[in-house]
Order: sequence, then structure tokens, then C-alpha cells
Amino acid sequence: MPPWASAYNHGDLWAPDVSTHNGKYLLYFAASTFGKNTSAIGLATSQTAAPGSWSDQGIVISSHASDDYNAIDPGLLVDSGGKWWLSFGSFWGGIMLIEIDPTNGKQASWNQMRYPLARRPESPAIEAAYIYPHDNRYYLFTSFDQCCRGVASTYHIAVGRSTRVTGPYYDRDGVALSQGGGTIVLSSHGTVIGPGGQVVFHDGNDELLIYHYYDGTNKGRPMLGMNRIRWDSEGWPHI
Amino acid sequence: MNGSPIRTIATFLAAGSLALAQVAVDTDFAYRIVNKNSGLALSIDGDSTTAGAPVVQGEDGGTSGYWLLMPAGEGQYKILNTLSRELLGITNASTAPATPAVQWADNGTADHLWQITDVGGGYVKLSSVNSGLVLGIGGSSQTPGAAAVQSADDGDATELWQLDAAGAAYPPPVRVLGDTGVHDPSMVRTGDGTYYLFGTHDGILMSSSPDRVHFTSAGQAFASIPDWTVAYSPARDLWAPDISWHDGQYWLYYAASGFGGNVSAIGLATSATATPGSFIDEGMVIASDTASPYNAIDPGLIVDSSGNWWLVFGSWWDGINLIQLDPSTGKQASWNRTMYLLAQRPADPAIEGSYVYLHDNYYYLFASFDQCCDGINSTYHIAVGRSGSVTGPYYDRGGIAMTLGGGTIILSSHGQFVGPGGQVMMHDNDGDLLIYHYYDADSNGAPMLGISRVGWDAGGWPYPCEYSLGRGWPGITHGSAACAPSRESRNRSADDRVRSQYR
Repeated sequence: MPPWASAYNHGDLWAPDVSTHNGKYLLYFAASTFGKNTSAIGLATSQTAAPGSWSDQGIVISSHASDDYNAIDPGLLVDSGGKWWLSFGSFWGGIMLIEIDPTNGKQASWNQMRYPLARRPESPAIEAAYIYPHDNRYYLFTSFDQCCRGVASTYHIAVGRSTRVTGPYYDRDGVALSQGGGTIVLSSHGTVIGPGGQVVFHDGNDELLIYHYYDGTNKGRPMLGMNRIRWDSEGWPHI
Repeated sequence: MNGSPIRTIATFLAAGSLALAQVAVDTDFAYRIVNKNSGLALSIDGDSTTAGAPVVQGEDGGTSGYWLLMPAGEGQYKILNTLSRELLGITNASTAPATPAVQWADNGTADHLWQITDVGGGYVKLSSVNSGLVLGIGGSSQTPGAAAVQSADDGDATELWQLDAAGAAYPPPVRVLGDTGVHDPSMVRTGDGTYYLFGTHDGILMSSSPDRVHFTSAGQAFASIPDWTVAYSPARDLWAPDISWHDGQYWLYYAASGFGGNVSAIGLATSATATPGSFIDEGMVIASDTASPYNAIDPGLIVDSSGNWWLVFGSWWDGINLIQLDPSTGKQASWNRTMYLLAQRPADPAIEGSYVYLHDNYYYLFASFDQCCDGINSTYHIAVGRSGSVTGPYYDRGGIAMTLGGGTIILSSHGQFVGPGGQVMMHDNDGDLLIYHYYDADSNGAPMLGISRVGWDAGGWPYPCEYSLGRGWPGITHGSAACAPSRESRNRSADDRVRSQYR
């Protein structure tokens, strides 16, 4: 564990995001404590992605008690113009986005902006953002409500979209995600409880929504869930 | 309306003008827009001030039945309701016939643009630039409350409207005399009662005034232009100053840039006296370059209720941003490098000239929308939103986030006062003042100092007011355009604050 991370957490790193660009692997990860926003997102790189091969590159962005955001749940995106972006955020002020310098994986010196992409004015419970480009739009998937409570979890997956990666994102009803909008694509059904923590994965001809759910047949244990995504005539995803 | 002038639009048409000519509107007035078929006036359903409320034909006496016609360039207009301070638009900017009209914030979508065409006989038609359809009443209804919709132009009486001037659009600015030419003004009152006015150009142009009425040119803030700024402004032309007094000295934030570009920087200078030539440059605060999505100009300092310092800035590009400052240096705080997005118009980049002002536990973000710097063709206007936190989110009165184009329009072109913008707020001993420039139609569109008194309505929203109304203003928005009577008692404590601030 990188030594700097001990200021944010004692031995437990979270929510990794792995991607490969420019001939190496990038691993963004979070150091935090459950229920607090004294948090940091770090970056590690590797030539092989093999266990133990990662070298820490230090802090990308941090948050503290006085901040209105929580620096966890990182997700890297390269937009259609080749610009790099990192989404993050959990509870507090919601989902944020910063621009990343492709040469070092840190926040771009030419863009110190933190873009607020999604928040829920009536409830802080939004996290696990993932941005997926599809058909000239950016789709922002997030998890609403409560994770991590086994069969009592109320996580569900909502989506909005924008023509620009920095937003504004709107749901299917035209409600801005910055004002609590979000079209629900997956929620608890039967023994599949509290689906969330999702990413979208493009595999061959399939686009897959990959998430965890709490298994009602197995004491609410978190399990891997996977569904194909289809897009309706108005360009909205469903499973 | 208080004996206010009632005239029809025909008054303003040149005698013998051709039918189907575009109408030239006198922006001095608010208008009732009366349907030929029903005789009822265009209004907001339930006199609502909420964004998205339907536009209908209203009962007589409805307070939402008055509109301002805001020139938007190319002979087009935005049509502003004087109660809600929102624009006439079409639901979801639809181009389909029979879509209902709604009010919405000035977020820059094309459904807010209208052409007003004279069809003769004292009537006009209102054509949506976005859809090419005309505004009428659904089903040719003559019933109060029936919805306004866009429909094909087939000349029915329900698609024809009479524009009746009904009272002044705004109270005029307070009188100022002398050397009042200025762009992007900022003003301070010094300990001996002298007012210094700072404005764009050269080494920051200055005027002085003993009474806030008579102004005299007084040179420049800088004895010589700081060398480092030339990389950002080869023309050696500094812009958009923001003057304030804190911790025993005057702080002057200013911008170095070039028109239309975002290779820009905000600098800081300080002075013990605020007199011309006395400012000492402290160097750069923040810069932007062509790779930056923002533009580092138009600075405005705000000290929050906890004593934290912040700088709001931005122009076009990604809109209005905020950074935290270190009060010991006036530069960006080393402990907080976040840049906060405060306002943005997704459908139109034209937002700039921002200023944040603290009033009764809310932070009010003022911004200039649309186009500056084009003389009498300028379409600048001033919009406001507010937040309980200086970092936002800011919402306008209709409920729209300023990051989504929200902004309650409080001042726009009226009569000779074209394109008001570049504003700051100033608290003086007679109350709150909106300080801005306008392009003077009586002086070939030269930018001039505008000062309007600001009242706060029962909901805590600002509006331009005057102490004694010489003429009616259907700013029913706020009950009246008169400054609230309770302000006199408030002013005493305000006086004390001002005195201690400038001691």
C-alpha cells in the first residue's frame, strides 16, 4: 500500500478502475473510510497489469471534511476528441469530473475545473459513476440509494446522457442529473437485490452492464451480475 | 396602471410602413400582448413564477400579463415576462405544431427567439425562429386560461396580437453627470468620501466623484502597465477591474486578454489609498490558455460569511467559475486548488461579467448574458441566481440551476439604456446599488455608467427600484418598482457597516 494512503485509510484500498492507454496499464483507486469524505484517489501504473507489478504514482485528487465532495470511486474516460477525464464522487455533493493530463495521469494543469455532473438535492445517496460513450453521446450511469446492507440494500442503477462529457446530463424525462434526475435501468427484482457499482463493458458485438447485486438466496452476499444492453429508438439503454 | 401611458404598437410604426414589415419596438415600455380573437392578454398560468409554467391567455387583472420585448439581434426578440422574469418559449424547444408555450430561463435555446411582424390594422404576428410557426391560442379558444400554442401561419384571428404599451419597462438609472463613460465598472468610496470609479482599458481607467453624481476623469490605476501582462494583452489594454477594501488596503483584480480569445490572465494590484497611479502590482492570480476550457477574465472578489476569500471569474467558454483565495496574499489558496463551476448556458456560451454578492445569508451570482461591445446593437442583459453556499449550486427564482442556463433577468435594454451589463453590486450608505455599463443610444452607443438602486422583494430577490416612481412600472414581479420602505431602518445599520469598513 502506498505510504500516502495511510492518511486516508489503514490498509484497505477501494473501487479500482483499470484501463490501458499508450502502452501501459493505469489503475485508479481510492483510499477512504466508510461514511467519511477524508478520501483520496491515487494512480498506479504497470507494464503488465500482473499482481505486484504496479508502481504508485501518488495522489490525483483528495477531499477533506470541509469539501462538498468525496474523492472515491474513480473512473477514467477518454472522450471522442482524445481528452482524458476522471469521474469520481460518492454522497456529499455527488458525482464530479476533472480533466486528466494524458502524459502523467494527474489533473491537467490547463484545466483545474471540477465539474459537478450529478447530485440529488433530496438525498445524498449517489455514487459509483461510470461514463460510457454511445452514438455521439455520453451516458452517465450511477448507483442511487444504499449499498452494502445485504438483502436490505436499496441500490439501483440510473442513467442520464449529454452531448458533452462535462454535461449537462439529462434523464429521459428531461430532468437534469444535477437536479436529481436519472432514468432507472435496473433495480431490485426477486432475489437480485440492490444492483449497483456498475460499469458498461463492450465485448465483441455485445455491450454488457456489469454490476454487483446482493443475492437473496445467499444471505445477501454480493455477487457478479451481467446483462446485455439494448438501445431503444430514442437512444436510451435498457437490459 | 397608475395613469401610465397606454399606446398601441402602431404608434411606433413609421407612417405608411408596409404591411408585413418587421416591427421596431420601443423598449421603454412593457407591453400587454392581447389576442385579437379573444381580447385576452398573454399571461402565465396561475401567475406562476416557476420555470415550465404554461403560457395562457389570462383573465383581466392577472399580474403576469406584461412583457418586455428584448432585442436579440437580427430583428429578433426574446419576450420576457415582467412578473416571472422568464422568457416565452416552446415546450422542449419543439418544432411541432400544437406544442404549448411555456416560460423558461434564458438558457440560450432557439425557441426563445421570436420575430414580430406587422400585419396591419394594429396587429402583429409572433413567429418562432426555431419552428417557423406562429403563436396562437389552442382551438381558437376565447376562454380565459386557454393555452398558447405554436401553429401553422394561416392568418386566423387567434394568431394575431395587439401590443399595448403599458407602463415603463424599468425605473431609469439614477442621474450621473460628467465623465461617466466607462466599460465594466467597479466603484469604491474611500475614507474621505471620494468615490473612485474603475473601468476597462489601458492601465485601468479611473474617474473620481465627490458625490456619486458628478464624475471627473482621474487617470489610471497603474502608473505603468505591469510587464507580465503583455504576454496576455499585447495591446497593453487591461480589462474588467474589481475594486474592494479589506484588511486596511484596496484590492484591485483585473484582466489581461485579447478580444475573442482565452489566452488570458487575472492579476492583482493593491493600494493603501486607491488614488490614481498608486496601485502596486502583485502579479498573476490565475491564467488560461487555448487548452483551457475556461477564460481567466472578469474577476470578482467575494468574502464569505466565514471570512473565506473567493474569486469568481469567467467569460464564454465553459462559463463562470470560482476559486478560493488566500486572504494573506489575494492569490489562489494553496490548500484548495478546486475550480468550481457556478454558471453555464449549455445552448449559448454568452455568459460573463460575473459578480457574487452576499445578502441576508444568500450568495447572489449576477452575470451578463448575450452580447456586449456592439454599441446600440449590444444585447447584454443582467441575470441573477442565488445559493446558500458560495460554491453553489446557484438557482434562479424559477428553480433552474445556473449551471443549466438559469438566471432571473433583472435588467435589460430599455430606451436609451441599451445592453446593460458588466455589473457589480456595491453597498453604499443609501443602500444596495447595481453598478453597470450600458450602451447609450443617445451617444452613438458609447458605453456609459449606469447606477440603479436595488430593492429586495419579499422572497429575497433583487430588483432595480427607485424611491419615488415618476411613472408606473408593471414590475408586478416585486409588488412595485419602488424601493422597499423598510430599507430606511435597515440603512442605519448599513451606514454603520460602511463607516467602519472605510474608517
